[in-house]
Formats: sequence, structure tokens, C-alpha cells
Amino acid sequence: MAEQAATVSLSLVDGLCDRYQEPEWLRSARQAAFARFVALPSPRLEKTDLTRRVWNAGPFPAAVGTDGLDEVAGLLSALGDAPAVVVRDGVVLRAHLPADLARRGVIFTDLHTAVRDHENLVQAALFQAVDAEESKWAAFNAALWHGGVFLYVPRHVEIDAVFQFVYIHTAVGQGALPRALVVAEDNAKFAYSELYVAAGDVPGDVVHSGVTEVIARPGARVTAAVLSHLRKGPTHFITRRAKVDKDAHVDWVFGDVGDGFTVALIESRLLGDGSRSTLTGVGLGFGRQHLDLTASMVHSGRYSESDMNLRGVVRERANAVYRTRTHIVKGARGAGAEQADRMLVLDPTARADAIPMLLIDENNVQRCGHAASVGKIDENQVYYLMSRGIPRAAAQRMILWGYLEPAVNAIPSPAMREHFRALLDKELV
Amino acid sequence: MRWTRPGFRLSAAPRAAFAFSTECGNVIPENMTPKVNFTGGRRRPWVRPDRELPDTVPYERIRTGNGEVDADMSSPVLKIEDLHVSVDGKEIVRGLDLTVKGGEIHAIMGPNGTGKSTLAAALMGHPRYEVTGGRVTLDGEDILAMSVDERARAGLFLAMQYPAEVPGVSNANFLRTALNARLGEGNEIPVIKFHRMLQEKMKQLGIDPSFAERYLNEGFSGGEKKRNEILQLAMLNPRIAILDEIDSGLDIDALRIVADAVNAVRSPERGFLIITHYQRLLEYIVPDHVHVMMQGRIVKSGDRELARELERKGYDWLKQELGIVDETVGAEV
Ligand SMILES: Nc1ncnc2c1ncn2[C@@H]1O[C@H](COP(=O)(O)OP(=O)(O)OP(=O)(O)O)[C@@H](O)[C@H]1O
Ligand SMILES: [Mg+2]
Repeated sequence: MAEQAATVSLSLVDGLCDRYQEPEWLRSARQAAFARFVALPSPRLEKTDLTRRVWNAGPFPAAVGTDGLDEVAGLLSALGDAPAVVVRDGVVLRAHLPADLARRGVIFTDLHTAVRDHENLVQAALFQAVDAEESKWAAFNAALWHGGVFLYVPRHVEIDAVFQFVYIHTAVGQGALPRALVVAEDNAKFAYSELYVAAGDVPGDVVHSGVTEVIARPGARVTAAVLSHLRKGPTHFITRRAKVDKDAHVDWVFGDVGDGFTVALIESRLLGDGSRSTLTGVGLGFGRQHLDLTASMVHSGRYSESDMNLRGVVRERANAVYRTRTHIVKGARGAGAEQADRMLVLDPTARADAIPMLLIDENNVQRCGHAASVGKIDENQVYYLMSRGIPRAAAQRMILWGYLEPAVNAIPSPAMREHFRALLDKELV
Repeated sequence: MRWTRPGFRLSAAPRAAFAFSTECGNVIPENMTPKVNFTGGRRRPWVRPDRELPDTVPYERIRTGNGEVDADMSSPVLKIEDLHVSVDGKEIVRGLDLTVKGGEIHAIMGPNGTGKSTLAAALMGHPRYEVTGGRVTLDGEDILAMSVDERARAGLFLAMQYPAEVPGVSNANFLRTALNARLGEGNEIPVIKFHRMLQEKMKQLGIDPSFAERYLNEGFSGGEKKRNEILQLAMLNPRIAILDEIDSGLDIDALRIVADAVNAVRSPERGFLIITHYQRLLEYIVPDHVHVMMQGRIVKSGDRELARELERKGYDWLKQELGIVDETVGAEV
């Protein structure tokens, strides 16, 4: 839809390249991505109507203050001395890497700085997991990303601390285009946790397209938590993909609390033999949320394994579609995959779809299972708790927390876990 | 390529197998424990703990914060008059009268399908069981006007024939929330004291300490569920306890342990209504009164001898004596 694309122009791309004095390869990549964005039609999705969404972003602020951050003040102080990059509306507020980690060769900084200081490393990995061909919104991000993060952990380096990336979207930002690039070299081991959070009312009629690329080289062990507070207003697009090499493991933790309009994809490409990936997810939709989520595992490595476990809750007028998709490519001998997708509908006005999808092209598969359900809170459970003196509302909360808690506990960053827990708790009833 | 989409919109019954890759311990974090308020329409909380909450003394004897003994906490009276209960429009309990006082143990026996569990569920307030007539009072207060949780906080307890499983909610967390709901806001039991009390009661009941952090009834064996019901009874100190087939599924040793636990909490301040099929339980927990239910009513009452007689002779002689052809509710013409 050319007239929609026209609301942003190439000068926005050039403005970013100039502002960050980006190298030529990146400028041309951004420009090509922009052309791709313009050329791609507004996609037709089975469960999501994108025809009336406006593709708009910018102008991007060059500097931001620290006002209006009350909602996230607790989170920011809880980050403590752990490695953290904090970006507000595209502008870096904080980038902290403890000295001992830097000495071990770890790089953790905002993506613009990384392009300047570690150009070769970035160039080798950027767009490798998510490129501009992927989708109109991935092209939008590839052309206009700013305020992102780069994490690089060298071979054989194991880190206990959690690398944290916080993107704060406020009224100052005209759209949000964060991009995270996480590279785990051979046998590196660490946890990364990112949180997109809206503070105050975020403007409507703009696009938030977030991209996370995880490159797990042979034998690497990566836990990647991707959390969000996707609020109403913008059109949210989420594209997160891991490329998993031989014997590497990537464990995703997905979490969203929100009332936003969202199309999201989380995927692992299990490329190497013996590669593994898990996805533990939890979502809570309220208000007029529209969430179109696809969690996907693509097996091409032999003996690759995946497990997905998603739990969703919808209330009010929320409408959530959770797709769990497993694709076992021909040649992925001995692959194994399991998926479970459970949705709880709290109000009669809310809607949930749990759609399991299996595509198996290989005959020699060790296991491939799925389970999906959409239901209500079990009244027998409520009755049982109430019969011990617990009031109805508290009983329902207990049951809901029992259902959500395991996924919340999987969030590796304590600061983000607590923040996310509080978000959930606030919106649960 | 063959895509399969096994389910489009799946509804209702959640499936069992949902193991998370990450196991977690306690479920509701300390700061997230549901706030429980007294919403009951009663004049006073039944329970007033103070700093020294004794483990076995009934609440009624506990001193209040200002050192006063609540003199009103005397013997309870549960009074059921001409109770009628329907399920899905079908009348199951058909005019039942019974009074249970503190210190008394009443046993209800009777063949399958005669309305025993229906009576228990209706007393507790299960939403599917509709009371269509009669009155039930606890110490003169209308129980039927209360919600399920209010009934529990008024002192009613039902050990269920089929307790629900609640995944993700640990036994300990559940019990503490339930106990605090009874104690009321501002009177919550200190966490350490709670755990001490819990471990002690679990020990008495021969329950492995790990059950404190196991999810409520999830994957418990039949007998373990029953013991867990009795653990709740021992922790929550109700005024009127209804035990629905607490002996089914118990092995001989467990039966003894459960009976001992019930006997240990016998007191003038507590009345029991015990539903059972087996005289054996009544050898351990000796009832003051034995009632037989058929066709949704009490058709005969007696003392413990009646239970022994039923054990020896079955129900046929009683049916003949009463002229009942089919004792099941709704089966008679
Ligand atoms: N929820 C329900 N839905 C449909 N019918 C019910 C329900 N609860 C009870 N009934 C019916 O009411 C009658 C009495 O059931 P109830 O469970 O009260 O019997 P009971 O005396 O406890 O039997 P048992 O000794 O087998 O436990 C039965 O015919 C039963 O099928
Ligand atoms: Mg029964």
C-alpha cells in the first residue's frame, strides 16, 4: 500500500545514518531495506487485519530527558550493578558492563556504539537471523532501527550475571524500532533478558517494530527472555529468531502483558545436529488487545529437539491467537518436538484461539506431540478454595497465579521478573 | 508438505500433561499473597489469635489481643430443617432434618446414590446444588444466605469425597491463605509459626514433609488426598466438620491415623457429621448417633449399634421394614 508507506520517507533513513555516522555497508543495507519496505504490500494475515494500520514513525528525538519514567523507576534501580543497557525512545540512557566481564572479552553496549567500535563483529552477524526479506515490518526495522543492543560473548566464556536490555517507550517517541543482536560464540553460556515497556500513554498511529536476533554458535547455551508490555496505541510487530548451531541450546522465555495490537513471531531455527530449543511463554491480554502470536520451531538438524509451552489469559475484550508451529524438515532425522498451548478465558467478551500446527516432512522422528486447550477457570477449583474460607476473588487469583507462575519464574533477570510479576498482578483482575 | 491443524478452537477440559520445563517451588510470592478481607455478614470473626497461637487448642479458647477470652465461642449448633436440594432440576434431598451440636459425632450411612454427598455439598454451598426449601442455621445464623467462603469462615468444613486438584498452588501456600482468611486481616499467622504448625500436623498424619510444597492435590493418590483433607481439618479448626467418605481409599494404617487425627480434634466446641459406608471407621471414631439415608431423607436413626446391625445384615431388612423398594433418589415410582 504505497500511500501508507509514504508517511515515512527515505530522508528518515539518511538522517539516522548521518546522526550515527554509519559505515557505507550499513547505509546501503538500510536503504535497500527501506525500498523493500515500500515495495512489500501490507500483508494479509488470516487472523489480523492490517489494512487500516498506519505505517508511521519519526521524527526521532536526538536527546531525551528522564522525566515521565515513574512507572519504571523501580525497575531501573533494581537493575543494580548487573550488566544493563537502557534505552528510552531510541536514545541510550545507560550502558553498563561490569569491568570483569569486559576483561573476559564480553561486549555489551548499544548497537550504534557497537557498529562504531566493533564493526566487523556486528557486520558478520547483523541481519543473519532476521533480514529485510522477512516481512514488511522486519524491513521497516532493518531500515529504521535505532536504539538497540549488541551482546557478544566469546568462545568458552560462561557468565552467571544476566545481560539486561530495557527499551522504554514514552510519549516522546514517534514509534519504536529497537533491534537486539545477541551473539554466542562456541560453547559460550549466558542469559539475556530484554523488556520493552511502555511508560505513560504512548502515541497511536505509529509503528513499534522490535527485532531480536540470537546467533548461537556450536555448543552455546543461551537463555533469552523477551518480555513486553505492549500497550494500546501503536501497531506492534515483534520478530525474534534464534539460529541454533550444532549442539547449541536456546531457551526462550516469552512474556507479554498488554492491551496492544500486536503481530508477533518467535522462532528457533534448529540448524545444527543435536541443537535444542525450548520456549516457555506467558501472556495476559486485557482491554481491546489483539494479539496474533506465532511460536515456531523449525528443525533441520538431525536429533534436534524442541519444547514449547505457552499459557495465555484473556479478559475484557481481548482477542488472542496463539499459534504453536513445529516444522520438521526432511532430513532432520531423529528430531523430537513437543508443544503445549493453554488459554484461559476469564470474561465472556474475551476470545482466545489456540492453534497447534505440525508440519513433518521427515519420516524418522523420535517424538512429536501437541496439546492445546481453551477453557475457563475451573469452578470446582474455585469452589474448593472457597470452601476453605478464601474469598472468590482471592481464590481466582491463586488459581491464575498457579497457572502463570512457572513461566514467570523462568525469567532470568530478578529485576525484570519482579517488574513483570507486578505488571501481571496489576492486570490480572 | 502436509500441514495438520489438529485443533482450531478447542474448548473446555484442560489436558493433564502440561509440565513446564522449569519447575518452581512456592507459587504465590510472599508479596503477592492474595489479600483476604472479611466479607462475611457476621458480627465477629470466629477466630482471634494472638502472639501465642497454640497448635492444638481450638480457636475458641485463644485469647484475643487485649487479653479477653471470647466467651461467646461456645458449643456450635448446626440445625437443618426440612432441607430440599435439587441438582439440574432434579430433587435429590427431600426433606431432611438433623441437628448437630458441638461435642457430638453423627454418622450418616446409606446405599449409593441416596443423597449423602448432595447433602454435604449443599451445606457447603456448591453452586450446582440448589436448595429449594428448608432452613440451615449455624448458631442461629442463616448459613444458606452465605457464600461458600463465608460459610467456611463461619466454621463449616467439608472434607470432600473428591477434592479438586489445583496445579501451581502449593499446599502450604493454600493452607496459609485459608488460615489467614479465617484469622482475618491484621491477625495473620506469622510465617515461621505457620510452617512449624504445618510440619507438626503433617507429621501426626504421617504426611511426608515434601507435601507442603507439592501442588494442591495434584498427582496425590486417593489416600493422600484424604489425608490432605484431614490435614486441612486439623489446621483450620472448624466448628462443624463434615467428612464425606474420608475412609474410602485409605489403607488400614492410614485409616487408623486419620481416625486418630479426627479423635484428637474432638472437642465440645466441635461437631462432626461423618458420611461413611463402613462400620470399620465407626469402630475408631465412635459416633453418638447413626442415621440412614434413603431416597434423600433420613429414614432411620439410632446409636452405634445401628451401624453394627447394618454391617451384619445389609440394608434389605431396613428397606423391608420401611416398605422401600428402591432406595436410590428418583428411582422410586
Ligand atoms: N452434580 C450432579 N449432577 C448430576 N447428578 C447428580 C449430581 N450430584 C448428584 N447427582 C445424583 O444425585 C443422586 C445422589 O447422589 P449423591 O452423590 O448425593 O449420592 P451419595 O449418597 O453420596 O452416593 P455414594 O454413596 O455413591 O457417594 C445420584 O443419583 C446422583 O447421580
Ligand atoms: Mg457420596
